[in-house]
Amino acid sequence: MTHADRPGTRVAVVWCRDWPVVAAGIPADEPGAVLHANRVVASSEAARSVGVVRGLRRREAQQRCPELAISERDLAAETRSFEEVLLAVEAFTPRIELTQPGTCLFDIRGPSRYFGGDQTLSGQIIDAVDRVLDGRTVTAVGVADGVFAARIAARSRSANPTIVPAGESPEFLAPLPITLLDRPELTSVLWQLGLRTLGDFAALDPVDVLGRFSREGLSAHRRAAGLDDRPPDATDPPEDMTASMAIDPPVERIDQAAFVARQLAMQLHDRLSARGAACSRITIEAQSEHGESFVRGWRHEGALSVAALTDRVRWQLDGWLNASPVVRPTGGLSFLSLRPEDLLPASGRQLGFWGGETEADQRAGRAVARLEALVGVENVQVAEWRGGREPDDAIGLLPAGTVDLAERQVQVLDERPWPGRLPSPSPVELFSEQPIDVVDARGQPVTVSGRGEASAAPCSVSVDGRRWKRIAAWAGPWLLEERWWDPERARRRARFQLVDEDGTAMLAFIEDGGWWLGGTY
Amino acid sequence: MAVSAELRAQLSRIAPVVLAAEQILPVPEVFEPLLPGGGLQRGWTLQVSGDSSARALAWGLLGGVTTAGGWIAAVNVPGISLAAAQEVGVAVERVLVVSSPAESWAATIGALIGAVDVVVFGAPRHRVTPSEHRRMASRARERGSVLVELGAPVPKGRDSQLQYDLAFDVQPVAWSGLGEGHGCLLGRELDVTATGRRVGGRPRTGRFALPGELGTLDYLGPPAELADVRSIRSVR
Repeated sequence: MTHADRPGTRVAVVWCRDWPVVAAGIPADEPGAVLHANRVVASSEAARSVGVVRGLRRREAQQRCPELAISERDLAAETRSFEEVLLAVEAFTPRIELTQPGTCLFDIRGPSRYFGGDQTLSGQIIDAVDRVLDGRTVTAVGVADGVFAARIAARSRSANPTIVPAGESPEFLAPLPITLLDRPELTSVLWQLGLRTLGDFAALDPVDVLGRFSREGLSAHRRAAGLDDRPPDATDPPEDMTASMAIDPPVERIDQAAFVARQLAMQLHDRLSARGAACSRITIEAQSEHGESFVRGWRHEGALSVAALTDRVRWQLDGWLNASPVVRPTGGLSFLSLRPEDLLPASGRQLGFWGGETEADQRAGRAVARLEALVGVENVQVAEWRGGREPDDAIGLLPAGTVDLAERQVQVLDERPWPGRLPSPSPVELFSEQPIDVVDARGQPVTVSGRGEASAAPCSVSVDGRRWKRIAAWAGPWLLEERWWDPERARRRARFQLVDEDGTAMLAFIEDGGWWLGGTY
Repeated sequence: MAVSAELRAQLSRIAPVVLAAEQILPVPEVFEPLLPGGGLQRGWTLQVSGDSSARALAWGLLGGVTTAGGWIAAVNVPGISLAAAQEVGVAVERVLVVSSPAESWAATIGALIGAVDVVVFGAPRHRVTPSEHRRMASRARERGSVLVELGAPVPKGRDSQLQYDLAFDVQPVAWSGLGEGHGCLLGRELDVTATGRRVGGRPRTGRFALPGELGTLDYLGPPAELADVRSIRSVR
């Protein structure tokens, strides 16, 4: 049997339904949708029942379901919360690969023999994952030859787990509709040609398919035929092409780790492109300074670009560093390596058929690269939603080089999760460590008691020892006590809003017994 | 030579037509009273001066550029608050925040012109010669980026020495929502005066709510026709 018509290796796909919705914290029985670039990318069961499906615009979705809870897509958070599911699956087999948050797969041949067959193993995995998920969504397992067939099996609703017997993937796929290929441009043409099922498409001669639809068409054809769905020209790396790096000092925070992720992804990409190659699967390995080791594989349908590589490494590191305390590394990460698992000929960056990266984004991306050389990587930054009670917490800045500028969306959550946050407007200019003086009518500094009451009405304010100004309006104090468990980041302050006689509005606060200026409005 | 003339004629026929509207960057409608032609023309050089509320105007004015898919770069804007920018309509995922030392300042601005649609920069701490300034402005005109300088309040009686296409001076008028010991800041009213080359001899003025008490951006009218609410609201 040649490489070309080899059936796919036997894999199991574990799929958690509607993961983006689950990760956004929307309960399964409430209508909710996750949007990216103003289009619905995932919706909950309750939302689908009233017609909120993928691809709708925000406005249309809200029209169909006014009480819809909407959240912006955040792949990093999805990966982070998927980590607990992966840990449950990892109890059965160490070699798991992610395709996207919500779907993971593994080679089932070994584990299946050990645990007593595909059926038994799949059942045990479903039980284990359901325990972790605690009713937030449904887990399904599909086992078949080849990743595509296994994924379709996992999604079939007839049985759970769905086991396609060895060698029967082509028969399993044949009667299914061709739209399952999830290649709208391709399937619409095939549909017009009268090919309605995967079996119809698979019956075509691969040579003709290649001639008419090129490589992309051929790999879809192989998938439809239930063959090995590694891209046909993928090869194993002929030598060790691992890019690795010792990190000194070890990193504990994700923003530091993002730097390393970026450097290493560039290193791997350069090494591969020197050979005219790209990769579609990588294994990410990290070690903590206490010798714990973490390994995880990522798989992509086509070649991974530098930005896509960086994102995946960053999500994975984020997942490890923010996992539950039991499994989280006990120290900082001190070693990181990226191993390409299969090589493809590099054919340049594939852009989305519609939209994707715009020309403006590309120009901005090039400017970022130039500026990094000019002023340093850490001085070119973009926004990242972090959330928090104080204006300088809500949106943080992150080096622009570590993110994919086109893929990013700064998520806007409303004030809901941050009780104690002052309502908008927010200060337009922020200050740090700027002492001020605020006194009452008798010239005594205003203080706040332990019960949160001001000693007197503030009357005059002086910024940085300059002229005293009368306070025309004020309100407060609003107390804020955060992170008391963490001595370094703990914060205990009493906040005031003040408007002086010139009409300048200030956010001021008392902390550590002194008055500080937080920002001006 | 005949061939080249023919070629030139051919070229001019097939050259893409640049419509005037394509040279205008989208600006929220409320600011139209301030802008000659109702929009920001690519290649203009702007100044926005006043206390910190000037930034609210700048972000409000530029928000439309980002939501239409364009990019803004903010160079050396101390204490930048993207949360505030987001509240007045800026899509902050398309804002680059750059800090640059004095020696590479000009090169930084130069690299950004043409690469992003709007370059906002804090008033430089070091001396920028008029010729450097002219070079920047002409490069911006050529490449179609808008330059916006966030200036300190202009001292009374002295005009800015540099020529801007548009210069906005922002004066805070009143705050609503805050009392004496109660309430919280809700809305800001400010007066904006637009001067500069593109306005001509008569400055344009307007009073704006940025934001109004309901969180929207509103044009309230010409300040001369409105009572000076400042004295009413802040002196009780």
